[in-house]
Amino acid sequence: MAFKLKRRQKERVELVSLMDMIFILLVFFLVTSFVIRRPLQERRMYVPAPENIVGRAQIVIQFIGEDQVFWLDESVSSVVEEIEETLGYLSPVRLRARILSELISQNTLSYPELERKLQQLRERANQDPYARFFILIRCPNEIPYFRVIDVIAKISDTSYRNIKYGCVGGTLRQIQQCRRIYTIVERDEEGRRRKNIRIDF
Amino acid sequence: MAFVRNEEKKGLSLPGLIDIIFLLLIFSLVTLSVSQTKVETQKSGDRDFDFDLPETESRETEEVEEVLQTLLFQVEHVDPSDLESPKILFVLQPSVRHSLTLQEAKLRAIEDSLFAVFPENFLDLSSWEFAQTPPCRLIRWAIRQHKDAHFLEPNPTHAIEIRAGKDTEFRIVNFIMEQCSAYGDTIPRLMLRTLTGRG
Repeated sequence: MAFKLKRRQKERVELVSLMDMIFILLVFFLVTSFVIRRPLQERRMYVPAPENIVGRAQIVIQFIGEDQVFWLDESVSSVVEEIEETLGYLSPVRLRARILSELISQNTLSYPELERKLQQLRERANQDPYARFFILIRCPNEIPYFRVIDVIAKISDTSYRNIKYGCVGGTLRQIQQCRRIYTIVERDEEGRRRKNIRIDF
Repeated sequence: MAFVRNEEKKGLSLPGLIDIIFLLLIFSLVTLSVSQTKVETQKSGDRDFDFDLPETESRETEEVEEVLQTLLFQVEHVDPSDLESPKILFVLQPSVRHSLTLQEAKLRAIEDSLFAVFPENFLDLSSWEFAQTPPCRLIRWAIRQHKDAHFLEPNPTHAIEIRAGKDTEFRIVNFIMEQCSAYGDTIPRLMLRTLTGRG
């Protein structure tokens, strides 16, 4: 007996649903290609070249990591004097260690805090065209440079361009091992008195 | 007499549909790989610069069709796909007529051997040892050459450029900055071109 093959009805895709699908895919690819096309960006900025002159910093910014800095300014002298007065009986080595640990605990700033400090400094610089500030930026060699450049860009952004800076490689550990941190009142090139920070390594 | 329309219903076959979908898929894959290699430059002035950078996803320094105006130090990985590979420095010098693009200048730097690889342990070297490495010697030489040829007297517009991924170590950039600062007002500015990954 001959078997008859049952003829199957040919399956067809509806034209309307096909168009729906194609348009959905088209929209999907358009959106994803827009997201993907956000390209690599090259950001450009001009910064003044540093002025590496020893012993004229009123502020020292020591990068600890990418997001923390150790900030030293003229307030160093009051902290040092206070500790020397109250703990003068300690041996010089222990006294120095105590001063440094106190300074580090008081002056370690997060990045937003640093930004606030820099903003205050910029305001001071913008108020007085004759004021001169010099910042020494110390940064460990391995840290990505853009953090330092960010700080340089911020301090260069003043109306009278009266904040100068120097840049050196260095770590917090080196400061912790220094012999002495102190401030000294000196006259600058224009004869103005200024309190400079000295770190004896 | 009533006319009867005898039209067959039109439709697409399933294989045709699959073809279209695969074509679209291939198209999207191709455009994806092309768009990833594109670099767009964003100019910014001295001020109001937002430097809050996103994480870098690709550290390859792409070349752009832009005319080189001044001496440019380009720092990148020897193998751009391997972020652990050593850093290499290219010295890109502008032509006399300022007609070289960055890409052409890099090719010329390769032809003229104006490139050097930083030793893998360059972060562990002392300042003196680091200053004696081939890339640092090249930096010193290139700045002096460029200064003698183009920056004959102090001028506030003189600048040297540094082009590097944002993961580039401070030590490298600081060395270039130090060398420029040694010339005082003759090289008073630096332009930093930071490749920031996808923005």
